[in-house]
Amino acid sequence: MKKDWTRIGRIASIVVVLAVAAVAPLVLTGGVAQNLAVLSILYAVVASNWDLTLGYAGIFNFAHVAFFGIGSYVAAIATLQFGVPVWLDLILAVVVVVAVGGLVSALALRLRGIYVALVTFALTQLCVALINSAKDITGGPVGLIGVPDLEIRGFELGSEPHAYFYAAEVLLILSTIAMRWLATSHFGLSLVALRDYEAYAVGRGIPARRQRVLAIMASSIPTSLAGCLYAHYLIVASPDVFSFSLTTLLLSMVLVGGAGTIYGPIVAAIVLTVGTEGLHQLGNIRYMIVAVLIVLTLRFLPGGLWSLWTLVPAIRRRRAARVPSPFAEEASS
Amino acid sequence: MGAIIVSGLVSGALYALVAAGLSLIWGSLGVFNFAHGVLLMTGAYAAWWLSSPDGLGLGLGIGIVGALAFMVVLGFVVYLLLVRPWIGKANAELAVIMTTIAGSIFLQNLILEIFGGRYKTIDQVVTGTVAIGGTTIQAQNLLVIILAPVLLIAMWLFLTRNRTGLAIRAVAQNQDAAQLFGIGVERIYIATFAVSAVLAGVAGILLGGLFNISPDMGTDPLLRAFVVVVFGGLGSLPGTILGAYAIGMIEAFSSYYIGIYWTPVVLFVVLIGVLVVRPTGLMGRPT
Amino acid sequence: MRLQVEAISAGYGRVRVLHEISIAVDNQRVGLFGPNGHGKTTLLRTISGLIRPTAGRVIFDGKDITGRSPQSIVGEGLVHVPQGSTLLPRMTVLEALTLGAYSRRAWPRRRATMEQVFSLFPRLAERRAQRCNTLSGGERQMAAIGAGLMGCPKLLMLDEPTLGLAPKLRAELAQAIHAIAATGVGLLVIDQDIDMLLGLCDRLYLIEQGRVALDVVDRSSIQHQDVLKRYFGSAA
Repeated sequence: MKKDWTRIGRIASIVVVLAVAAVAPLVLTGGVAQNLAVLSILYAVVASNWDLTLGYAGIFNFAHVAFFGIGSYVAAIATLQFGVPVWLDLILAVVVVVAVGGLVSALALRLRGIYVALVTFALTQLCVALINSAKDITGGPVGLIGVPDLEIRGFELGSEPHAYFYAAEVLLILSTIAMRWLATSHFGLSLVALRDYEAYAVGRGIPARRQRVLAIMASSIPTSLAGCLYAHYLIVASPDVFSFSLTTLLLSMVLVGGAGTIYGPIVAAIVLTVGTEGLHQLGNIRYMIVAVLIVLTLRFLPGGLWSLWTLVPAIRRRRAARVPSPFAEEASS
Repeated sequence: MGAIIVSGLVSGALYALVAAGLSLIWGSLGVFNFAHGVLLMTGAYAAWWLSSPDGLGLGLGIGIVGALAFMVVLGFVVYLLLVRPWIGKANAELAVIMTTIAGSIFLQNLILEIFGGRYKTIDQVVTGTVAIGGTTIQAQNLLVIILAPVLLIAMWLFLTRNRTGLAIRAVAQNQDAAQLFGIGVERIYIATFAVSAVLAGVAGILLGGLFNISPDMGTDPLLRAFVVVVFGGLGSLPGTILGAYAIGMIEAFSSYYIGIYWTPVVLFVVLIGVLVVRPTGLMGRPT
Repeated sequence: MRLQVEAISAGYGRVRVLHEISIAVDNQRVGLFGPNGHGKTTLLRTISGLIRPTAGRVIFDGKDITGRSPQSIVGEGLVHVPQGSTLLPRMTVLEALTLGAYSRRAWPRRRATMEQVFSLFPRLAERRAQRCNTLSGGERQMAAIGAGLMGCPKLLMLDEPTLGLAPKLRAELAQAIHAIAATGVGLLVIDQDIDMLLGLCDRLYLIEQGRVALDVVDRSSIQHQDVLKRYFGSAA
């Protein structure tokens, strides 16, 4: 009997999500709502993919924002400066980001945790420096304006009011499916083993560095695509995308949503994007609130909001068999 | 050439002060304080607000002393709120990175709210220029060049002769043994944070006298400090200081010959290069 | 100087190591021996405050020191020299010894105490500017014990002071420990060298499975052979 219920529950939730996804763009009319929706979905892609490496795999990866930003800049530069056909820049962005991500993480992951954080962080700042120095190509601190509309087989997304919304949703759904598949695969389990019991996992023959580099590269694919969409949608590529503030906002989505849960950051991304935009008039205080949220979450609810599901007894029993997040109390051994 | 060397020495001196603070905390507490850059900035603002006629107008002397006293308190607060609750937990390293990132965003925006984003200036401690060996340099630059090594030597004496300084090193090397000597570990943590915060504050005040102060003035020095500690190795104070001057020099030469915009790229390439050859940094320890 | 350990239970996490164990040191020298992993070190760590016991009390000179911080226990004059070689690898002998006198009680007297330590261990005096991780095994032990003495202990607890040392060095250290005891400092010593313990201590406890298996109050009443028999199941 129980088995039937969980299967029904899972199928039901998938149906609900797809239904909402299909209907939402038609319901949320009005520029502001549409805008918020697209942005929050793109951030959800970025945040959940960051969670894959930071939360799920426990890698001290602080270059993730760079993947997003590089994706947007490759899209902008390729189409604006080099006249690359507008759908090709997507592929180009993925290739560039995966290559850069793979290279930097292969080098950085030779070191222990804290150094990985520093080097990956430095990469993000390096991107800003590069953008500011190669002004002619990148538009410098001002950024590039006039990124052409995303075009697929001649269909311009900008011409149809809901097109970008659907495109973003498709990206989020595909990305989540991919991540769920990864997480439940041998590869995903090896990542968790490396996170919690590294010496043992390595002793059992799991190649630590290779798995982690692959995880970073995998997570960078949807992220770079999100960056492309971002550039095409906003028609602008700016260095703000590499800023400390955005990093903090995305970090808060990962933590508040629930590090290591993948789904949690998605929900948190939507809530926090809407929240911070809604509190627009507070200006800088918004970021102070986000910062306080991060510390409070780490202190009092380390598993994030998603861990609140464990309040439901049926779910707690199921989750006891699953993998705990790196910040939940049980993970420390 | 003289100007380049001066610039390198000044940068090196400031980076040494900043990186030394980070290294001390890492050694004793085993965590990395991302909020260090913001501490630098807050020290500068504290000095400004106390000394400037737009603030309390109490003059530079009181401004500096007051700011440094404030840094001790701020260091304690950062420790209490952002570090202490996670010390000893399995994920302490990663958690403290995140809490201190959050803390730096909080403080930065707080300062932005209170003081606004426009640049301010602190009075220089010494004004005018000095001619040395054919080069004219700002007196404040000379002050920095001389003061930093003096402070670093003072710190070395503190760590090798002073009861608390020795205890800081002991806690970094073997916490159990330190406790069995009667050392109160929490007190040492607080002392380490206080010293680190004061060093950051000094760097901020010196930097503020050379350039303008702004809420994000701590970001670049912090990032340079990242490169320095990876370069010189986090566990080693001598390595960190050597690394700081090396990075300062590289930066100065690179800025002159390659240009100021490409210098961060050069530094990053140097960093990656060092890591390929020596994964633990110049003098770092494997653990 | 009196140490009473009353029915102490302690362990690591869910693993219980000590089971209501009781020992006493009454202004004398007491030895602890027994198979490895049976709780001797855990007992010392519980007394010195590194581990909180789950039950029982530790009383030192009439004061209940159960659960107090290691810092305050050192302040009472109870010093624990732990097992293992290098306590503070990158510090010089001089710095390590100075730190031994960290407590408020011992700090003012550190210069005089250090002279005593140097006269007890002349080799340390020779090597005072050397880093601890460049010392030989025997010298590291001397440095560790010396640092313990710097705390002006009323009771000195030594965990395997002669572990891993060649016989000649062991004899040398044993002699030094005798000299320390002769100055009136109480001793609680864990060691594998039963001969040394028999020669040094007034009272011996055999610790097995976290309990006192044998309490030898009258040293003359027991022969080395008996202990070996009990310990290893056959006379050597």
